Amino acid sequence: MPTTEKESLLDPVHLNRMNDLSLLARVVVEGAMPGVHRSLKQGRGNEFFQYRSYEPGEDIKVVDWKVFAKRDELVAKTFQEDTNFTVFIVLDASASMGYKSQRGACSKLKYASMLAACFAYLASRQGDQVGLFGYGDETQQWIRPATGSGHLQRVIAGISSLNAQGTSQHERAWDQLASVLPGRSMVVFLSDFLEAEDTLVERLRFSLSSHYESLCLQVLDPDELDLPKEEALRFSEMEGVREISTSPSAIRSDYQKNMNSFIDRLKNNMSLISAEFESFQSDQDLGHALRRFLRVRNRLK
Amino acid sequence: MIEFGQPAALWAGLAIGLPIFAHMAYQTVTRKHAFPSLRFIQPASIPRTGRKSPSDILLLLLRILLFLFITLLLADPYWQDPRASSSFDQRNQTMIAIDVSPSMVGWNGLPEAKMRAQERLGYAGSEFGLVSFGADVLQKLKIGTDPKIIAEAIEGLEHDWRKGNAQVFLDRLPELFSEGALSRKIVIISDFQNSDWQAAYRDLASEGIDFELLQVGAGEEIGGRSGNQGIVEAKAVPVGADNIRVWVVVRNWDDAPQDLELSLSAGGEIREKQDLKLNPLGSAQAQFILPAGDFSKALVRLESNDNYALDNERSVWLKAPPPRRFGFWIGNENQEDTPQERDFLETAVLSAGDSGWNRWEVSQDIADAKRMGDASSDLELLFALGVGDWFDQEALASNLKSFLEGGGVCLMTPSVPFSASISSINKSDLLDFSFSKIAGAASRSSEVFRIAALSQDSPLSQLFSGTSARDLYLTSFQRFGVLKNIKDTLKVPLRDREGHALAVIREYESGGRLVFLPFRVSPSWTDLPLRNSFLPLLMELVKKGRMEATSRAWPILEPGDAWTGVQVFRAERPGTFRFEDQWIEVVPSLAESSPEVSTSVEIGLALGGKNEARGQSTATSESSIENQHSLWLWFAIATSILLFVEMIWCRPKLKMPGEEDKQNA
Repeated sequence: MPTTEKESLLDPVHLNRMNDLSLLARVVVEGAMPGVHRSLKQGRGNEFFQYRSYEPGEDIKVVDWKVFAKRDELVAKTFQEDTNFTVFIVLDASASMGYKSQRGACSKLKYASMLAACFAYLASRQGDQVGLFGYGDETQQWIRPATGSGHLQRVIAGISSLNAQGTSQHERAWDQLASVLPGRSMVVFLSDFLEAEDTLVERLRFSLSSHYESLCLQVLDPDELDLPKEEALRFSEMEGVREISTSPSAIRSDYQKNMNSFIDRLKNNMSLISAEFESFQSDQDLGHALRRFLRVRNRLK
Repeated sequence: MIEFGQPAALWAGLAIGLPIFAHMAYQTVTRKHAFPSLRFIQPASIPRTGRKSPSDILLLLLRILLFLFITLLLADPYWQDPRASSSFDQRNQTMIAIDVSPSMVGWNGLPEAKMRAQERLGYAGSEFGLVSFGADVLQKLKIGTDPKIIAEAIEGLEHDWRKGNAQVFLDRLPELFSEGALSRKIVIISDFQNSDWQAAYRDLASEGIDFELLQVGAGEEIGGRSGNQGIVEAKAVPVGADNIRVWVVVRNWDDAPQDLELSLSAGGEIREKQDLKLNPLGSAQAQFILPAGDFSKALVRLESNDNYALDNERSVWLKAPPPRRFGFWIGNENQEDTPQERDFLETAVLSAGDSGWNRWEVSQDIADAKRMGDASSDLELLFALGVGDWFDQEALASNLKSFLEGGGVCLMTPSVPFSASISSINKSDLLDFSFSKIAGAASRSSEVFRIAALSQDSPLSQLFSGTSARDLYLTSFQRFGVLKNIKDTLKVPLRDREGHALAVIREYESGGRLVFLPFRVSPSWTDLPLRNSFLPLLMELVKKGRMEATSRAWPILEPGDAWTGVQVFRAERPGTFRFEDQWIEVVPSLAESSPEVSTSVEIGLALGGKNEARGQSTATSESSIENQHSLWLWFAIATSILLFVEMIWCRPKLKMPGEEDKQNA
């Protein structure tokens, strides 16, 4: 089925060619998904938004007198209103996130980074504070939540600088995150959540609070769901030293069963703590994930 | 064409490479695949179809080529000019040389040699030939002969009777090999008995011939061969008119005393036995008395079980030897002194012998044959009487010279005129002196000349001593030629009281002797022939200069010797033989009885200093080496290039910054 122009803008195959995540986020949000996000709320804030004609009866405090002096025209100066809401993006940059199969459009980390950049852009456009926490076996990026276009660029630059390396230390990272979470926050987890289904419930228990929303997006490569299409392979662990020689075709059915069971268990556990969970493949377009993000974000409005 | 200096490296390379290729061929090849988690991956048996076949065929071929070149490099390749190599016989040649001299019979030498030769024949990698040697190269099977034929020839080898002479064999050694052989080797199997090998020398190493010495027969250590007893001497001499004494000498080469039995057989029966006690390394004598005339020959046997049997018996003739012959050359029978002179001399010589074992016989026919130039005739004593012009005219000087050089004895007397004799003698270059005058010829006075006292070191002084000398000194000479300028090489055994020579002798190395008397043996010149001392004086003067080994008159030969009569007799094996009118004894070579041997180390030194097989650095191969061009450098360059290409091909792929493809780390 031929894809429309807008849908192709969400295709990770195409987006992977763009190295500038800032541009990528703008293209996705502004080009491919116009209207899906809430318009900016104008009000009294710190971030200048735009000029408009002064309407009689308005508070004269909004008049920009410098412009009146130059042009002899009353012009109202509007500011973006702060929402007092924080979107915290938690990105897993362990070695396993660097996996890319022949079927995958890009590596899992790249896919997660593209999503993270779009989330940051969306949140920033809505006046939310955006924070970033990237980790592997140690913390790679830690950017405190803030607003403003400059901050957005810092966050996107932080996302771009992540490298897939080390063994994922979910427990340590989430413990560290929970201790600094501000009130009314939305925490977006982007990870493959491998080996984490049991510890997840304890670590994300803060999601039960009405002030927090957790969105857990699992990013998997298509090969991780049904193994590579080869007769014999010697698998080596990306976050370990183990090696196993096997025939993927021979173990495929068992593997798929176990993997689906793992994803189901993750989903169940997430539901126990009222966290949103969705599993994505790295060849899926970004639209579904963005809509899922906005739906959760709007729930806390 | 390409050949290899170290072909074993090819086999080594194959031996190493085959298991590697087999291992790779049957190895389960799986591609390594980095994966996020192995949590749900279980090991499973990999089907045959799942084994990975080489995907990079070119790289595989490159590596095979590289391995091949490394192997060839280690094999030291070189280019052999085919034109040059076609003219050379590229084979390893081994010549087996077996000593078959008589000493090999003893100490189990020959059977052991056959066994060692058969063992050697079983070695692979060479073509074989066979040569047996003793006094000469006896049997030869050229290189490349069928080993079965060689093996049969080895089994059929028998000892030679002639004394061995290894030098003759060594002199002919190079011709036993064909030209241009890859390597030439001689395997010498011998007992290295001293008498055969002590003078042997040839630098085989410098001639490019490898050699290997296999000593057989009682081990290598000096003195290891002992236990031999043998007859070293046996001869028959008359005892009175009726009996013959057989005299035997037995020697013991053993360190221990031996009690042996010696027997004498004649007429087909054992006539007498005697017990002998032999001291360590000593000798003993025995004698047997037989009636003369009953038997013609006898066999002496030593009853011994020693290690060398060939010298344990000896055959001897019991017959009287043929008479010794003498004759005359006379050219001036018209001179009155000549017949008298001949009569005196003939009578004297005939009376010097007896009727049996020491008999003289006039053989004028043989003397005439000698005069005609027949060198083969056997004559012991020749009288040239009244040498003068006829001697020159008949050109007898060369005949006489060959007679003297053949061991004959000649007595010359002058003619009248005396100067004609001196002239003929000087022209013939037989003697070197001059003549001044005839003493006593000028006057008819009664003056006589006497013989001066003999010097003490003269042989004649031993013969004439005491009263017997008186008769000699009373001899008077009426006339004689006064000789002067006598060369120092000539002997003067007899002088007158004034010092003038009365006899001049020239001796030859062969034992021949030329005696010149400056007077005629007749009463008109001297009363010597009428005196008792004439006979001993004459026989002493004409005695051969070289003492023979035995006093017997029949020839005693060793195998390989020859005796010349009308025809030639060649001695082949011990025994007693009748040849023409001659009795001949052939006795085993005494030298072969000696147990002394040289060590293989000593022989090795005499043959060039190295007693072991060496590589192919032979002189023969040197010529072929000149046609060899090493390819080592070219192969090294090719190997380096291949290695470089392989390294470039398999270099680690550089990862571009920002590239996120972590697969296939």
